[in-house]
Amino acid sequence: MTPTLNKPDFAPILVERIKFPYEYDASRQILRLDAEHLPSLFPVLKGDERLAFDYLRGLTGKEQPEGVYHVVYMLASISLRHDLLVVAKAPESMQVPSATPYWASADWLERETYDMFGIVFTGHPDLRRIYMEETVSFFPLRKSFKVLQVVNLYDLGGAERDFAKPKKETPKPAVSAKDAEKL
Amino acid sequence: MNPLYGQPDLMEKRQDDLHTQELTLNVGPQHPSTHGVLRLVIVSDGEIIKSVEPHLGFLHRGMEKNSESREYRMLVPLWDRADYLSAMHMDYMVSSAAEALMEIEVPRRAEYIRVIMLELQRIASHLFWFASIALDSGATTPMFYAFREREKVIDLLELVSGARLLYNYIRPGGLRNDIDARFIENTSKFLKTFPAYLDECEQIYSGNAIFINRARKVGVLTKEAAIAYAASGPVLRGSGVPWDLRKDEPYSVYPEFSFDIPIGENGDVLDRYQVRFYEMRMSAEIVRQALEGLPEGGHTAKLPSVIKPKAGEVYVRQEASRGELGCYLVSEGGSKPWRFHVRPPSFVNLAALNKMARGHLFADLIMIFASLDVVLGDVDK
Repeated sequence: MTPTLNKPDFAPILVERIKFPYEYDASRQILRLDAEHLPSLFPVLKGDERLAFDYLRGLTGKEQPEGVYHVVYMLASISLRHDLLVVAKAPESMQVPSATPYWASADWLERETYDMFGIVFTGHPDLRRIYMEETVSFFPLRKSFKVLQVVNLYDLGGAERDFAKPKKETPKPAVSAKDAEKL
Repeated sequence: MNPLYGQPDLMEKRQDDLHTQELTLNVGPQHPSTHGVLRLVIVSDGEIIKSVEPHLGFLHRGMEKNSESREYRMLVPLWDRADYLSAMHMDYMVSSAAEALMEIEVPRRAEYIRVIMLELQRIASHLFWFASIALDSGATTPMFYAFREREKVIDLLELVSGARLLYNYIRPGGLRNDIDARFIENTSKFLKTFPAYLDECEQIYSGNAIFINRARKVGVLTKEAAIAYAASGPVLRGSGVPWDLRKDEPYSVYPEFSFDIPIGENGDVLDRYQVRFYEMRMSAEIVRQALEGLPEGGHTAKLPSVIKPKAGEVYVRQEASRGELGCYLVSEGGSKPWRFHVRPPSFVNLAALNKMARGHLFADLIMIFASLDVVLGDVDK
């Protein structure tokens, strides 16, 4: 029978190898840091033989209530059977170094995160939107994008306005005020 | 930029120098063998593929955004629609994410019934895949055999949930309703006939020389490349990596059952095919064990009518039919999720298609794509 997932404490390895500020929660296996330090973190995570994170199973973003964006890396090691969640705080410029030189799966996952949040991954070989058209002017998973405000394409502004029908004087709302309250 | 991870580049290995003019060919989005609305832009040299670039998003419904304006119980029927061929796994994903954040204990009987449903769903999904890969390779007959048997599984799932495709059965805290004696009787009857049926399929299709010639050494994904591309499920195991979340990161009551994890050797279409076939046998075995050891008890935990998990973040994952189905849930308190991210297995597996198809004939691309078992509702979310 194969061994189940290990829960080792990475703190001694991180203290030895990492020289920038970070927060590590050993009970939940979460590592928090600023995104500018990622270029020096990736080689440690992938290269250190005690960590050996060879499997980037997921990558996504999230917006905090105070308007700060985070990039979340879900890492696992198939050879050593442990996992780690890395949460990196994106700077205001929204430029985050790409993980594609280390994990090939980051290619599409970073494109998806760029598509949804507008986080730019510097060094990505082919950073284009993956689900939506290149001409779309908004990033849907940002909290500033409100689904219920969009009554027709005209409200989106930008390129979408060119495709929209001329706006009527009193547009009929897609969702009534009563339903909007419920949602 | 990315190294090839030991992946053989058949385009470089070609013996002849008879290159022709590059041809750009568009496949889809409306094409019978793309299993949905997928558009592929293929650059080919004669009939040999140089690169395949999938263009996604024709089925993008913004489900992650919609999840942020819905209560947790409303998410179950919404995410049913993502991977419509294995909706039970989607139900379980939403439920287990909410449960992990709330730290509630689900009754053991409910967990056992969940495992039965998840494994029956895996059989139904793999049978559908068997029908479609046979159809893509030009054989029409296996489809009728596969659908005959899939119909029996769907009938079982309909018996408990009332729906044939989108079940909304597994819910936060437990299940919609308990199973009855009729379900247990019908399932036991199905399990008796099912292994013999799989033998029949092996006879008519798996041993077919035409199929084996089209599948062996086609679409090879090496072990290293499969890990680098974060492939999961039968694609990863077909490449020879023994990684199954039911064993390696156990969830629910899977540690209580004994079953084998099949792995391939070469990582070609034939290996992925055989891994899925063996998985169906193992799923039937798990259902049999679960029915035998079904404990007594309630079918759901007592929860308030509006679920409000405390603030926090959690990443839950499970072995769905197509691979690792992960869910990253962030809550800021309140009755709706703050962020609901889903890691769809089809999406991540599809990213390796270009590496697998390069250097093969165009006709092989259809087989390689079918062997990935991609559902476009799952890719596009």
